[in-house]
Amino acid sequence: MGHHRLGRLPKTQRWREVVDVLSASPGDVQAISRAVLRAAEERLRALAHDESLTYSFWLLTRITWAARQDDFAGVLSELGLDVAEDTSSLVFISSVADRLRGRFAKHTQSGPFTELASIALRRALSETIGQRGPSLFDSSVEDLRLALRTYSTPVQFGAIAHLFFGDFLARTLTYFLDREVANAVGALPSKSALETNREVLAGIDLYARQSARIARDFAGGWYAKHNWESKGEISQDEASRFVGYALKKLRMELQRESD
Amino acid sequence: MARALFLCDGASKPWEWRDRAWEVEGVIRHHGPKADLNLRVENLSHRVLGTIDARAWDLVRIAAYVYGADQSVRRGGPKDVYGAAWRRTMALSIPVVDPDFWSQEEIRQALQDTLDFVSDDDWEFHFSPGAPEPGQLVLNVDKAELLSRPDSVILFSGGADSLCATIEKAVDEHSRPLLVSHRPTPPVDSRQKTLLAGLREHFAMWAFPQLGFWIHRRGSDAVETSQRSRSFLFASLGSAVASALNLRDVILADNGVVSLNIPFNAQLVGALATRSTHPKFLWLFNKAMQAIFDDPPQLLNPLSNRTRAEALHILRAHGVEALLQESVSCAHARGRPAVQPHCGVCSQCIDRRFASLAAGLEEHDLAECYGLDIFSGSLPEGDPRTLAISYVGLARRILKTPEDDLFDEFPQLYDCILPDDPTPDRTAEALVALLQRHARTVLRVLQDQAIKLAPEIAAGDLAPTSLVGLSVSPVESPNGDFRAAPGFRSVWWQGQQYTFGSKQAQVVEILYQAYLSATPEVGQDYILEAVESSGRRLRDLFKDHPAWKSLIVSGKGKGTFRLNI
Repeated sequence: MGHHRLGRLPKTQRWREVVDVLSASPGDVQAISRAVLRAAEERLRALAHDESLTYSFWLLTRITWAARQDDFAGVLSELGLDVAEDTSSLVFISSVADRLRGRFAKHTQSGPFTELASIALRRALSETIGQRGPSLFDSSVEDLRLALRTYSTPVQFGAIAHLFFGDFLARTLTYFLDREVANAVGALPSKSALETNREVLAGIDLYARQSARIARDFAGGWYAKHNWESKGEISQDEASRFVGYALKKLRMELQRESD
Repeated sequence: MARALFLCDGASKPWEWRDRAWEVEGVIRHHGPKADLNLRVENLSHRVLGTIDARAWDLVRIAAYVYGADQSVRRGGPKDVYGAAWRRTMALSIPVVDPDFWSQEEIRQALQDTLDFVSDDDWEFHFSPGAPEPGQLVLNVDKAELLSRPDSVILFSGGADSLCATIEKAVDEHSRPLLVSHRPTPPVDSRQKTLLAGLREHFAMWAFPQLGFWIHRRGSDAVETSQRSRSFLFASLGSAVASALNLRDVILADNGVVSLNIPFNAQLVGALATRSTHPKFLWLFNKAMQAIFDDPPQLLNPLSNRTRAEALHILRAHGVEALLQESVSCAHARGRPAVQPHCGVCSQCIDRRFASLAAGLEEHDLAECYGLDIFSGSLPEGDPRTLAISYVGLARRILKTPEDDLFDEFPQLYDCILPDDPTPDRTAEALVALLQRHARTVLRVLQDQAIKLAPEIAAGDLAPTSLVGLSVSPVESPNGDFRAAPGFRSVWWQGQQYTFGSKQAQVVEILYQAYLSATPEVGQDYILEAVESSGRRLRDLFKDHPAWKSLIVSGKGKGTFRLNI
């Protein structure tokens, strides 16, 4: 019963330009990214106000903040995330995905971007434990708390915000591009078409994640300011405004590097 | 994003839904002359003990209406680049025997959670009083079969995975499974019958009784074919029967890799990649059954930790490899010729082809039974090429990712870690190992096929856009100015592409080898003899070819030629 639904890029002028760049310059990740940003500009602008994306980011700020509190489990419980002493990191991150799915079950208008936001949050949490804690598989929620605790300083929050936005941006770009890469891209010198296909997507993925480094610069400052002003209670509205600003900056960064 | 309301079999429009805006308002009927949904149960072979009670039958009805509605509202289609219409709001007003029971928040929420996850939609239900199904509730009692009473239910689709699970259950575990089938079309029905005949012929220890449910649209084709709710229907049929017979296990078999919802293409987000046997779907479904039945059956997938190739080994282990050719896995099987039931290019066909080759079952799953042999045939642009390249691309991506990072690379895997898993670390390790075994299998099969097709590659006869053709690196000159596809049938030089016939390609290859050996000029006589040409002049072989006197030019020595690179 494993049927999959695939699609291709529309045949409008701007999407045709994406295909043209893929065909002519498959190794030029900057030009490819720029073309996608131009073609999907309207939708990407609308994402700045997407409730599921902003909530996912807000949840990240709350989980990170909770890691600094004495009653980690209590704060998480207020967020709808129940943890016990023996809860593993794996189960906790899985429960975060369930929480988002439950909250946005009726939010069908975002289509796949709700899931992409949820995946970005899972990735940020997963990498955090991988970089700062013991092995993901053997770790408890306490290990995750200790790992997240190191990310709750302004500087380190910038790092986890980078992970979140980098993943969301990378998966959004490849969500569009993987419709045509196999058809539009031939073989790069010394590469098979299959390997070229993989490298193009991996190149875009890496470029997006690297470009999101700028989130480090402004996310840390924002986190410090609003955490102090709100006494640790950053609101969803504040998070929403930040996501709008961050997406705008990220789009500009991709454009700037591309020009 | 569609908001659709369906009133089922005369159910009224609930007042709380009257003021809401619906883009689609429809009715679904399985009673009366205007019925557009067929819902019929029949004992196909043997009679079995038991009576489907009103609650179980209500479950089947709900699942059937869901299945009917699912096919009635478009999800945007392949041109919907933003997936704006993929997720729908689906509201169903349904008559049931016991509306008070089904209207309980716990029950309704459990149904919605299960369907939301498997379909990506937002499902809502309203239940009103309805009559029991006259004459369709009894699974005929036959006392003669009391002693051979079934002890489990297997959802038997006619595909390879359910076939393997049936054999394993009956033969290795000495169980007595009752086969429950959803029979959407006559060809599927025919396929299931053929497979059952084979099972009965080879395994005399059990009669493999089968119960079939005819559930399909009537009068018009579906406007939406993704059928994400089909596994809910299938599982509901099995659970209703299991409940009637007081059986515990309901087997919904699919190989583990397909079940995981790992996107092999980046556009496959959420249920755009199937979740029909995802561990979380099974968990949510079982949770719903616990709320519905006092002694609930349990939905299981015995193949969840096996690759498709590993599942197919069951056929080999029991000496029934020949049954594989009677099973059909294709997503586009409808309307295909009986001798070639597989399209070859859908994700199911690609996965099956790799698996049967990996399991050493090629002679029972012949390439001729596929509309296209992906390894040697030219993959058309669009879905076929994207699917085939992405399928191999996923395998490469898995093997290039350190195993500790696979959950970072594929955060979708977290959905496979269930809230009540007592050993999530072991589950995670098993998932990683499963993916790695699958990836290694895929690349080994591709390598084997490349070796098998080596003569065609060398001769330049392999389609460059076949899967093997696409996986072979082109030849390239040291300065990067000249590139040739394997076999030299296609050459790129100074921004232009040249295509050569078989003998012409051999000439170009000889000249290229000479170039690499720093002895670029080759005598005409030698070349003509080497390519077994009956002509006396090389230029005759390249008559009117654009490469003549541009890419292929005269050397300094008399009667010699070289590549102009």
